[in-house]
Amino acid sequence: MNTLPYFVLIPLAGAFLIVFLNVLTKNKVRVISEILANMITLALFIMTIFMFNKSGMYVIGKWVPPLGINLVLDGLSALMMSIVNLIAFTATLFSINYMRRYTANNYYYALFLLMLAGMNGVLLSGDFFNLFVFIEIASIASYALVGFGTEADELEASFKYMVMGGIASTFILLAIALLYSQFGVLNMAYISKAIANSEFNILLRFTLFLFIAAFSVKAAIIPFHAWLPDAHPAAPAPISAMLSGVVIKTLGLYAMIRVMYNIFGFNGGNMLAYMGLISIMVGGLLALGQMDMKRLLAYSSISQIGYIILGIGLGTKLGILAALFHLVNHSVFKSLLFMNSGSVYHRLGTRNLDEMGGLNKVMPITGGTSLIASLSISGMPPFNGFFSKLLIIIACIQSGHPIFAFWAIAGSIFTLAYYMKMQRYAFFGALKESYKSIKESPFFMSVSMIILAILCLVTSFLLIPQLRDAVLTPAVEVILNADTYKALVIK
Amino acid sequence: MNIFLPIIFNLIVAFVLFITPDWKKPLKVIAPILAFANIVIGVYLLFNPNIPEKYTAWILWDNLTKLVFFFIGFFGLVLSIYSAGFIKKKLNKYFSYFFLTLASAYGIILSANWIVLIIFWGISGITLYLMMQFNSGANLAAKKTLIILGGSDSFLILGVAVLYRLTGSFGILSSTWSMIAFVCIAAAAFAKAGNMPFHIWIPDCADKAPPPVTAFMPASLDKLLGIYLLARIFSIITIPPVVKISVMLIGSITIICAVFMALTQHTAKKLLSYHAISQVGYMVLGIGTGNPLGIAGGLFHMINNSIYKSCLFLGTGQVEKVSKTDHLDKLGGLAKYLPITFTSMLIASFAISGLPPLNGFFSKWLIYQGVLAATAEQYPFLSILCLLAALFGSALTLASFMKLMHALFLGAKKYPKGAEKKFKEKFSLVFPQIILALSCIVLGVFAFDLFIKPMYGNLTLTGLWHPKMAMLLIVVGLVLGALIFLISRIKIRRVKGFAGGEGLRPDMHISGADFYEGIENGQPFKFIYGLAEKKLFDLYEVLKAMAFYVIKLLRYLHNGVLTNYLSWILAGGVIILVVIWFM
Repeated sequence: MNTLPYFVLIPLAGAFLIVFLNVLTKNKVRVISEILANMITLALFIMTIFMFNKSGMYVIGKWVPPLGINLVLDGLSALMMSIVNLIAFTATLFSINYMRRYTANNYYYALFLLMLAGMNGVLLSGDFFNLFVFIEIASIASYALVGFGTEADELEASFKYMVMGGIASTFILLAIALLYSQFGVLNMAYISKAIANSEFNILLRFTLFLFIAAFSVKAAIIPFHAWLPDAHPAAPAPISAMLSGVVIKTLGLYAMIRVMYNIFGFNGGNMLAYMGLISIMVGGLLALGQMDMKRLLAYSSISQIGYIILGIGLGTKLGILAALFHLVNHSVFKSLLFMNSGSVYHRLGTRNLDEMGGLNKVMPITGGTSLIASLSISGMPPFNGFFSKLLIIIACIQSGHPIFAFWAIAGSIFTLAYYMKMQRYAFFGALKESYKSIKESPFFMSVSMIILAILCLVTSFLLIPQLRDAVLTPAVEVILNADTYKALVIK
Repeated sequence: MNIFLPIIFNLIVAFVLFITPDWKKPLKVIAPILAFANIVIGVYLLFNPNIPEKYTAWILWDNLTKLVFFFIGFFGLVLSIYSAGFIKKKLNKYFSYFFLTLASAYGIILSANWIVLIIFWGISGITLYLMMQFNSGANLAAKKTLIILGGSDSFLILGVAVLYRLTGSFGILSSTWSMIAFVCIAAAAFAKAGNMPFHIWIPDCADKAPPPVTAFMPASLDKLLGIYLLARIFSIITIPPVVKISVMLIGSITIICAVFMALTQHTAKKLLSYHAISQVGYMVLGIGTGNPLGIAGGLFHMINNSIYKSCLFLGTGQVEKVSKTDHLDKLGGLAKYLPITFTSMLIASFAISGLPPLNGFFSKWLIYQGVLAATAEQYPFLSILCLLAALFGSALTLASFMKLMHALFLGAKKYPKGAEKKFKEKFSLVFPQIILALSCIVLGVFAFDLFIKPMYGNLTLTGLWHPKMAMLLIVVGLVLGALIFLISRIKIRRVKGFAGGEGLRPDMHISGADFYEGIENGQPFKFIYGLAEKKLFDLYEVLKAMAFYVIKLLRYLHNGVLTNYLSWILAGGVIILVVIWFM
């Protein structure tokens, strides 16, 4: 467990090192930050692979909890960490070519690593105050990255994101203050133990509400979603991939699951499931109406997050398994789709579907990977999205909610409809005369997209019993059984 | 040989072709040979199935599967020959998808596991989507097709999930009755086969996609698979009478409505596509009766329809290939340039209209008997209505094919000079048509030996119909006629076409496209056709319009004003607070 702090320290140090090295070289050598960032994200991803099926605690400075700071690794955080660092690696790889269009690359990579450090911190943090600090680190880095292009709409999006994110952060801080006032500790396991032993009084209910509302904003669950359709399209493509792929899941869903299930031991009846149903349908419909490729993808993220919390809200073992599996899958194909849109934008300079058409002829890799991702996210076999859709529907039926299943299916048909719309407008059909000379996206962008497209097929294998027991089942156990988390910290 | 061989073989072929470069010349030869290898493997397996002990629970190998199994290979061969002659660009990709389709079709029928079935089911939808868009402007149609097929795929999942809850297993096993499961699975079958109300993708697909693709998937394989699934669900669940009669009624409505739509079409491929829908109605009607006669009729009709319908599509493809259009107004008099196409299409159109002794007659006859048997059970009145619809539909089918054949092949039509020289039949395009037309005759005459006996052993049929005897009489009649003609030396006088005693002017071409204008313009048909024109019967368009109405509202709410968004957060927060408060 001694490696745990490095997940935070390496990217944090990397961020400062990049800025420092660039100051030394007077911002002349872009390659330094590119290589450094890629090496760091790759190293972190490789490290996470060894974290599966392990659980434990790291105490910082030998100060034992509840007073000291501790980092906790269990099945859920291991799963989340691997996917976060994987997407981070593909995003930095993609950035090598893509970010050439911007200036001040060193700040970009520094902010990127800062955001990564924040997310890893959120996933590992064992006490509430550090949870808050890491959420803020990741959030503030992402505010800056959304506005990185510094055009008018990007700044506006960033501002909206910051205001709403700020409200969420305030809620979190208030909730933590209330908890501290009641129990006098900040350690999550100890608070969980104290809550289990005390009555679920008004103050605790209010605290829980603050947490859920705040994390709903971070996870962009309808009606807390309004920042996302502006922020995700405005960001540079690899950042959109990070935001939709992993940031909303780490800062929003992971934190919400951790607090609700592990700390409060509260499964909320079917409240989350209903929130999910609304998100599925409204997000899907809004995506269907978009002609802006990245906005379409952004609304689609809202809809897909709906599926994840639908599965979690069912509260059954199968439901949570399906939700976590869908979470992993969605990270993969949504990042890929944002990269596809970035690749198109890189060559065509537009996000408007009306202005595209027939791109398969000139950009076969982008077109092919985006077809794979579109079919995956629409739940077409044999890709990974099919299996998560299958599991979610079976879970709905098994838990006795055929209406939920029907709703999920209606949502999936909308999903198919708007991805087919995107395919038709962007990649099939007649190629415009002015685009005849367009080339395939540059090397690293293509590599990154191909990796993710292969993962769209490969992640299906997570359902093979041996792999499932190593990767997904520990995470499900953590969510279903609040005591395992406590037992890790309180010996 | 292992029973999985057909699937694995086709998958490997698909993969290899996908990564090979586009070598056109060798591929044109290799692909039909591979498809032939497929049929050899298939026939060998039919007689020597080797199902490994370990996998017996995963494989279905009954008569229904065997029937479809053989014909998948058959259509694979016939259409690979035609495609090799028809498709010009990216042959490697085309044949890769082609063999992937074959693999998925084998997977669907062999699987005894619902999940495996759904996976292959979805793949066959995706390959159709990809193949439709080969060198054609079928993007919109392809999108619509995949949305409908993918959506039906989702419903299949829902149905299977319900069955799983009932039986606790994903095996295709008999189960207790469940309305949701039946409706969902039947919807998927209807969508694939193109029964109403999920038929809407077929006309668009046929109109825009390359003819070999239309003949391969919507006209043959998709019919086989859709009806296979319907027959399968009828065989594993005991269906209550009220559901049976509902299915029969849906089938009958499909027959009548689609054939009326077909009557008024002005392009050959759309006309055929509405017949493709109408014929599905017969299969659904037959299977819906739930008695052995009706089901046998439905299945036999499925085979027959696939044969003559793909023959008709291939013939139309040949016509379009030489004349660059399939608008009935612009065509005519092609019989002398394309004699083989004309003959085979004539045979196929007689078969689809149910003229004895062709195969279409035999299967329709079985279906009528099945419906008659169903009248003895419950709802006799409704069953008789279904029977009438089927009979009437058959007559209208003949009528609309007279229009088509006249418009394409008969009548005096002048083409621009030089154009006629290009009107030649290509062997690779004609050969498949000959095979299919011959199959129509052979399956009609030897229906007892080729279909009834292998499938059912002995099926008691009421009524008297001996196709071999009838064929013998017809042949004898023809021979006698020819003899009399030759012996008596009747003089033949050929005259040019005339009207009112005067020779025809070039502009007086009677195209046949407006044969049934009277129906189009008479009430109440005019009103109904008007509604159809507005796409009010198109489930997809109606749902789309409704969805976009809601979207407009939602987009109006997302006006970009930050304070509004903040108030939503407040409102959402209050709801959550209330829920938590009272929990």
